Amino acid sequence: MSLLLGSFGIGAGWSWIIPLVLAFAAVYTLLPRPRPYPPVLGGLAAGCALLSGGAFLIRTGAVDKEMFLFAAFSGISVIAAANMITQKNPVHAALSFVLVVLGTCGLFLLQGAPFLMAATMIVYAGAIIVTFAFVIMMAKQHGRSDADDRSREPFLSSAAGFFLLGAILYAIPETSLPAGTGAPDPLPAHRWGVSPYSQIRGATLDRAPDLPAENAAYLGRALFTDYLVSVELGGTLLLVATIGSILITARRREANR
Amino acid sequence: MTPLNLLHNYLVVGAILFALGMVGFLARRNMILMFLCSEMMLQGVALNLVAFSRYHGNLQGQVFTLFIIAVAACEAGLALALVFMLYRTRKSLDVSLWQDIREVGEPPIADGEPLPAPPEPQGFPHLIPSGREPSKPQEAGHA
Repeated sequence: MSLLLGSFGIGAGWSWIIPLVLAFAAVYTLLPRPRPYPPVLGGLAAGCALLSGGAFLIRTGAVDKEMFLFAAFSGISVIAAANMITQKNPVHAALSFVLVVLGTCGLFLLQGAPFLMAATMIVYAGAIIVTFAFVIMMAKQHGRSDADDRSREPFLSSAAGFFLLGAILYAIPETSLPAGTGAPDPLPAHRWGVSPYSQIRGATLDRAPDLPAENAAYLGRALFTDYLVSVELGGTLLLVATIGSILITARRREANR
Repeated sequence: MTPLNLLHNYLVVGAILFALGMVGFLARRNMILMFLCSEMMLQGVALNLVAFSRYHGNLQGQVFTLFIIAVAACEAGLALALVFMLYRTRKSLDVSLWQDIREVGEPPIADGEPLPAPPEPQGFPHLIPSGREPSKPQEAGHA
């Protein structure tokens, strides 16, 4: 692929431009509109974008277990996300969002965050079920509707989104990332779970944490020592949001206005 | 795979989710779908935070992601309440019906092309009755 790019005079740091343009074409042609393009075109462009994007991400020849799982989960997420925004039927779109969340949960687990995986699944499962009830209640069951079969400015909005993506990809080449404290060991167990302030307060760990099985314990310790005020603020926010949503949906009488 | 490569991969996937959510939010007109797209953008950000948490070997990113989940729950409640109210007023989920509250001086957006007619509903086929109806045995009391 670098040969192909080089023939166009594009440098080595720009190898993401082909999948980006292909994905833009795919999303633009697949967005719902009154007279749609044949879906084969968009599907072809999407497949080529996926393949070239995967080749851009997975450069090394040797594919280990983690790389395989990463490719599987992120592939599920990205395909389901594209399907969600191009899907006419809102029920199918909500189901695709479930797949996006599940793929992201797999990526969380791969990153050594099992508690976050469980929390995301539980919270989003509840949210999705409620949304699902709303969709089934409100969506137009038969025929076509302006809400589902039209897009607002499909070219401009997909251009805006993919321009942002291109800017991000341009800004994060691997050479510009900060040389972090990450050890060559993919899961630096000895430092995991120890927040920088807990040692000041004498809350040091008496032994090295086992990872990632004890992730929840150390997450809880970090939450309720270093981030206690934030936890209280989050609880207050949830309470206020509950009261607010009750107020918004309450049917007021005319006399009270 | 060095940790730097891994971090870069996760950042790219997070950016893709964020951008796709943004495209969906800008382009779709169904209010519930717009809300789901904003949730997807939050997923991309959470992925970034967790990747940095692992890269730096501490838990700050994961704690931040927990707060994102809490804020997303608040947002879901408020957004669904608002969508419900808006639906009750206009009887439709189309967000373009609310363009009368746009900026002063902006021209309204009109839908150009009409939607194609919905396909004809397929009725059930009429079957020609055939054969002979067997005579029913009559009960003795009613004969």
